[in-house]
Amino acid sequence: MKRFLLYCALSIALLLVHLMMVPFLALANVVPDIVLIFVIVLAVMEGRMAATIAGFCLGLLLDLLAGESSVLGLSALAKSVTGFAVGYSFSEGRALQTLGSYRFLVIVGAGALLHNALYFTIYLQGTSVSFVDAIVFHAVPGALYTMLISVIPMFFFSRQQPQ
Amino acid sequence: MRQILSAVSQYKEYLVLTACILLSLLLIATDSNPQIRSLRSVTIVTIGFLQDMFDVIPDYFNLRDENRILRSQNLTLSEEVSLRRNAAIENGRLREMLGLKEQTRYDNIAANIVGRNFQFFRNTITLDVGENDGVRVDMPVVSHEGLVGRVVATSSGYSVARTLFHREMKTSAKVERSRVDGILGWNGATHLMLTNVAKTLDVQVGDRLVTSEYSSVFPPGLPIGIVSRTQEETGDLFQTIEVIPLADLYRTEEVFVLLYTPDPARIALEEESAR
Repeated sequence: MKRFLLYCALSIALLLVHLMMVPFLALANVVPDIVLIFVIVLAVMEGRMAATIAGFCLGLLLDLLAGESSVLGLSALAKSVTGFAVGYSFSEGRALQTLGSYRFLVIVGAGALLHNALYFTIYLQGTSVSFVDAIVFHAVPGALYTMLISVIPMFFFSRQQPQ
Repeated sequence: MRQILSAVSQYKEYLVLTACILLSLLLIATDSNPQIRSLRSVTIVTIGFLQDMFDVIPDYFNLRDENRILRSQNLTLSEEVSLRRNAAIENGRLREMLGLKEQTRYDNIAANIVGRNFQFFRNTITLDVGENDGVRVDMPVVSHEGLVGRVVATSSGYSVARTLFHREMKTSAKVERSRVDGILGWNGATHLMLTNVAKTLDVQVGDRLVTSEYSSVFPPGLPIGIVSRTQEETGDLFQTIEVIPLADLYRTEEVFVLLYTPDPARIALEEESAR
């Protein structure tokens, strides 16, 4: 119960940070997805079920709070599927080792790519925007930036590991 | 019964995923629902207020550049003011001679950009003016450089505007020099695209683009951008025209909302004839 409340508090804090502070980190219109990093951390720590539900709830809140700039339900879909997929990397008792190693960066990179690809597949329906351009100029840079930011939790978790 | 429960327990993760996907798809399908839109307008108030609080954080990285640009603009504007003053006097005299009516100028409200949303192809800005200040949906948003976008949602104290870098932002535009019309839109690149312009029409690099009188949202003559590249593809009837917007859509901090709403009679007639 205590852990659940901690995750809820962290989720709200990260959502606010994502909406308020992340635009300050924008590089050529590309921003990192810190909410996705949190969903991936949950997937590694708690497994598929928790990550799927967290991904759906956080994505939905993000869609609602982002207002006009998002399609309601799209982030929820992309984040819940990504949470589920990344949940395959869950291994009982080895979460801290995964989170504190470079393996975590690879998981975040792959998860962010999957997330962005899924997002664009639906998002670009009925538009003249090229899917390849969207992947090359937005999805891949966005995934790389998210991966770069995930170095911060990686260092944090590497310090939590028992020596 | 026990077998069903056992199966549910065994595949619960897949069932949860399926439920999440179905719910998400249902929500995506109802995105343009009026109830969802009104729910979103409530979030604008909350988010606008919070973004306003974070607006005190200065963008130190850009201050130096901004100062340099402002000094240069100041010089240019001083020269322009002097030229315009002379032109206005001359214009007034000529109009008087021709018996023309003075064109109406649009009232405007100054606004600060208190939030920016970079959500892939839907770039929007949050302004610190809303319905209480007279802002309404569809009003144009401009900066001192040119067109920025249009208001798409309002609350009592805040409003959200789509910028030109938004996948659903399409507007009629005209080449100022040759009066060639086209549809201006954005496809995710660093520039805008002017489409539906036949290869035979005269458009050159450096031409200035303004809003067209065919636009049902914007008043005519608002500066939009400069043509940066034109290309003719073989086998295509139209030319590819790239346009760099005059307004710096990523760094502008102050804008103006023009108190202009399109003539409802014209919109009604156009909609009726389109049916």
